[in-house]
Amino acid sequence: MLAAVLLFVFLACVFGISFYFNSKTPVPEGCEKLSEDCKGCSMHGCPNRIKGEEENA
Amino acid sequence: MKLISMIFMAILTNNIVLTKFLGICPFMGVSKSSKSAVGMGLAVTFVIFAASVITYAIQYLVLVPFHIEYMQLISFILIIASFVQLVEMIVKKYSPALYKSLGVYLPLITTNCAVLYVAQDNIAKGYTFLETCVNSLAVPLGFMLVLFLFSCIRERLDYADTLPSWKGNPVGLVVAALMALAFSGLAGII
Amino acid sequence: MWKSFKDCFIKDNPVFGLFLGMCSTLAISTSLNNAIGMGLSVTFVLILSNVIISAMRKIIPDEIRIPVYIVVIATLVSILQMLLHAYMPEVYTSLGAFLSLIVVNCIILGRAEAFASKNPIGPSAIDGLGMGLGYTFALLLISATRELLSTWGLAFYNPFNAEHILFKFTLPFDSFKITLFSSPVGAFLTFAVFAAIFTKIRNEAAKKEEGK
Repeated sequence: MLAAVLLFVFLACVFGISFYFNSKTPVPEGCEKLSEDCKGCSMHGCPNRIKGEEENA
Repeated sequence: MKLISMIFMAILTNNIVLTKFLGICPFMGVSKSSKSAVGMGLAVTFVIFAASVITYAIQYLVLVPFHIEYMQLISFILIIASFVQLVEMIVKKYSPALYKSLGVYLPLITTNCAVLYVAQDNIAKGYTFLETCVNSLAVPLGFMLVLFLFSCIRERLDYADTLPSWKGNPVGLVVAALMALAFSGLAGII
Repeated sequence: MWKSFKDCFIKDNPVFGLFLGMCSTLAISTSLNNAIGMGLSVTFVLILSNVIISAMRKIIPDEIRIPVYIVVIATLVSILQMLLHAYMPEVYTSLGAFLSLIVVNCIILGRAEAFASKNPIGPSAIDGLGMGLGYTFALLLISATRELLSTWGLAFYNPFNAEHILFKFTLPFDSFKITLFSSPVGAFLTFAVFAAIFTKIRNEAAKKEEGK
């Protein structure tokens, strides 16, 4: 039981930290407009699409 | 010998898109041009291979010794998601050219059904480490093959004169049905 | 609010309108029992995840919201897996690996991101119920068609006790059955036809709105 909770907390922290650092890493130049192709895609939960919709709105 | 038949089965006869219906969402969404299809396919191959190896290690080094197999789903999905974030970070920092061609698809791979399925299937079928590596390389190659073929067809399909209610996804699904029929004819090769 | 609930069935149907969750739809729709089991599981997870995420929407920092959503949904699906394994073992074995794949079902994450993170608990729950029932409705349509055409009859048993058959009928003239529909080809074809029908209904409704 304790092992399960510890594993869960450890993996959640690894995920949260990697996600946070990833969002802080700057996108290389020339790559900011990549979300233009997102209209045809059906994955509404994708972060690129969300970012593209926020920029267009 | 078993490995070679596993490779053939994963790519041709038990193709993950056409027989197991996994990875359909990006299959329909990312197939507007063949270049993006190849980019998506390569990204998926890399993520599935590495994620399968890591989840295999976690299963047999952590989950089984501590008897917490019920944590399999949560740990696998967290591992896959963190791995995708790590890959995106590394690609952003060290190879902007690579990021330009496949950067858009990396967050998409987290919710790709195929990644989680392959990771869990390797455990469920009880493969050894070598079989896991071979399987998790062959399955996404099959995905890439079908995605590439479909995108080539779809590029021309957009110019065809389809009825308005069939345009886009419905006629794409009919094409997928024909591809499934064609691939199922290869079932006697092995 | 009730209008958006009604919309979830035809106009904004998650499967035929927004084309989300196609992987599980195509794979599960071989028989009516699987369809109802899967549809109700997805509805259950969708309502609970919408409610939880909507309740937490003010305290989650904006940068890590996607990880939090994924963790919440994964926990819910694990709980659902254990409940089904205990109380409805036939549904558990027939759904198989696709039960775990509810975690990466585009519908749940998409609705959490698009609706639950911006609206209070009540509307989120209703939206979850509407989307889940719309998904179940779409699954029922496809699986009823496929089962009818491939086995020339329909059968439905009690999920809690597989021996107890609730209804079952077969049509006469057994030689007319088309077994193609139980294979992947049939799945794609049925889905394509229904998607075209729903797109047509949506286009007509949009044209009527514009004409008004």
